[in-house]
Amino acid sequence: MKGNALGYLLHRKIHNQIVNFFKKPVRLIYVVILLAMLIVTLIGGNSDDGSSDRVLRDFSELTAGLNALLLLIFCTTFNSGLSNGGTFFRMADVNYLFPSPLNRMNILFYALIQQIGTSMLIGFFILFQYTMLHVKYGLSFGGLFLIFIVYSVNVFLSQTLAMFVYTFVSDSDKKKRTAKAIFYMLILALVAYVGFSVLQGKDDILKAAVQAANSLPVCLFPFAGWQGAFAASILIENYLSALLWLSLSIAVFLLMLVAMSRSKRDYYEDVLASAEAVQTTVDAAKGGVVPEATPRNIKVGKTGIGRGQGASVFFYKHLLENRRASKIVIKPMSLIFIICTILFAVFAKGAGLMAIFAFSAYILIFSIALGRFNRELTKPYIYLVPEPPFSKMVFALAETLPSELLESVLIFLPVSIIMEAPAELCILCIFARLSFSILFLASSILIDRIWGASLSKVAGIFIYLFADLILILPGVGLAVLFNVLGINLISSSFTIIFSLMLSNIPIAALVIYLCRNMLQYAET
Amino acid sequence: MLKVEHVTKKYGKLTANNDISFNVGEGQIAVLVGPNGAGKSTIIKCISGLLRFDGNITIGGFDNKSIEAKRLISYIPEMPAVYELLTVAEHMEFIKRAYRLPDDGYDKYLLERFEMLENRDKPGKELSKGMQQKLSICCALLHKPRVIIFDEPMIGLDPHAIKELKHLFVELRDQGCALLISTHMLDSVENFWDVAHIMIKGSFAASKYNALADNGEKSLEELFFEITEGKAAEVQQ
Repeated sequence: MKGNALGYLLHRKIHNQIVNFFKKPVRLIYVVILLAMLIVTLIGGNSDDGSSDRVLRDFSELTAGLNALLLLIFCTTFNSGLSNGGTFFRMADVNYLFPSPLNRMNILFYALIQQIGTSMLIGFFILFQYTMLHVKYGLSFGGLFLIFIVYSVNVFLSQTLAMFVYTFVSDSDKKKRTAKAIFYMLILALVAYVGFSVLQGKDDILKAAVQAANSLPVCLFPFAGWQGAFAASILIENYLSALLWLSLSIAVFLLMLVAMSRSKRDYYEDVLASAEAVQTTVDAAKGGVVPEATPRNIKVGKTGIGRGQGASVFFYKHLLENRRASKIVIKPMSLIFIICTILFAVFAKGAGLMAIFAFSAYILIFSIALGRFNRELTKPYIYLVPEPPFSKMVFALAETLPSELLESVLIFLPVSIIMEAPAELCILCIFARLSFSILFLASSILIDRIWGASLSKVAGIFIYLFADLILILPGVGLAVLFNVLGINLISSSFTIIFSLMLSNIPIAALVIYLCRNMLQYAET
Repeated sequence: MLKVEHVTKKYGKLTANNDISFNVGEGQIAVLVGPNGAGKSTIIKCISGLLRFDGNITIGGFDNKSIEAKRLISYIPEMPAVYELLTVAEHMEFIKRAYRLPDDGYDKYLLERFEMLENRDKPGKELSKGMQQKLSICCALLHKPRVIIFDEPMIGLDPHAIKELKHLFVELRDQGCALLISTHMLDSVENFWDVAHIMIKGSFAASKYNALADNGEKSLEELFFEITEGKAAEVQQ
């Protein structure tokens, strides 16, 4: 059979994915809903265009924010890729393509093309930010689409660069450490530069931070900085500058590819381990098992669970597992959310603490995870241990609370300083956010209890959002009731947040109690 | 000790187990044999309390979902149930604490018996599949259960561990435990079984008691192939 085998493979994959997509009409419904939401966002964003009293914020804030986002995504993706040699390949590629007589550079291109699609999917959420960005900065949809493309390309380039560097350093731990050290020093230098600039412009911290984030040293940061500068140049219609930054990105990307093709080092071996890991994850996910990203070499350290009897041992076991799973208490994604919330507080200082609290609770909807509880459900012990199911459930869920509390503290301490909020409101926000964590955990449990594995991912997200909304309503009702009755505790913000917290805890406890029999069976 | 009465398990329209009834008494080894997809793992999961079902299952007279029953039963799944981040010794500590067991040294005895003692500080992730299975068995036996359910226990074990496990089956039977072992490898259960149930398409196609004397009956293997290869439409033993 003649023809390009890789082209055929790519074509068939895309074709089969499309055919498969139309075989499940429910997916079409999701797409229609998503498109409808996007259209609503567009219309909503444009509805205020005729208003003459609308004051737009400084556009450089937007480009600074974009730079920060690109750098954050680039650094986390690159770091992860450098640690485990992140790969674009699957085991089927490894088994069929690697031993074949096909040119290895062509194979690499095939993988890169596939990856572009995945990267674009990751950036899709940006399109939903239209209303906010249009109203605040006057950003057009074309501008937003440019940001979406730049974001996706940034994800793609960070993965490519990580794979490129990994190929050259993977044969020696010393080389790996050196590469990481250089990378961390670059980040440190950047943070130090921005920090120093902010300190110098203490009179107007926001202005100083924005100027620093748009400055040349930040724009010179490999790929993320170049992409940010390219987008900013287009947005401010400086096309010559845009061309320069784009040329730099393309030139370095091509150089990387040439270096990989000329290198005597074979990238096959480097991607094999990570391809196997990806395959294990995919297989595990298909079997309903929650995969865990454990370190390649687990540092055991101090041994022994040490505490707990009966159901409570699950909690102490989880603490031990968490310690071994990662040196950092806060997960990288949570760290991104924390930084986003703090940045939001900086930019929306005038909106008040209530708005920041609402934003942090909104972000929590997407960042809350059942953690080890879901993984526990894949092992028989939680069902077999002769303890009451409610106790087992509470102790198996409790592990998430210390990290959620820490996250709340890390958010609301700086936010309260930025907003100049009183101490009691800061403390209340910390515990109220924790109550939302528990409420959203309960919401996830509720959905697992009712639908379990029978629910598709997209449907699960929609129902989860709907359930969150329903569970929050009693708190909102309580706040309204307090207002109607004229009850005011310290301040109106304090009263609202307090009433939400007051409602969240019993609602969550009730939901978890009603779902306790989830641990009677490994199925719903 | 283990009583299964009219258990039916359906997944939507698919009937995985259809009206299954059998008992396993104290000091008895029952084996479930059958081809892939016969419903062996499903009935085992129903007995272990992991799946919903229609019918009735009791362990030592207690409903199989009760806390009392959970104290008596143990289940060794086909895929080893090991926590990647816990060491071997910590697995044993976890079970001891979860079941509120005394510190009587039985954990060390089990680890020694399954040659796991030198690996006691190794995390689950670094164990081979066979070692994970051995650890899974040690965890299951630690609370000295009276009813023990094995789902394809020999898979992944080295010959020595298989030999040790077979000895253990007989030993546990002699101690009065009720054992239910599911397998599709007939030679792995050899002659230590007391009763064998051959499953086809979610039902028992035949049940055969292990007769000591050669009374002219077909061997388990002969009977199995006769049924599974469709040479007999209905077999009554």
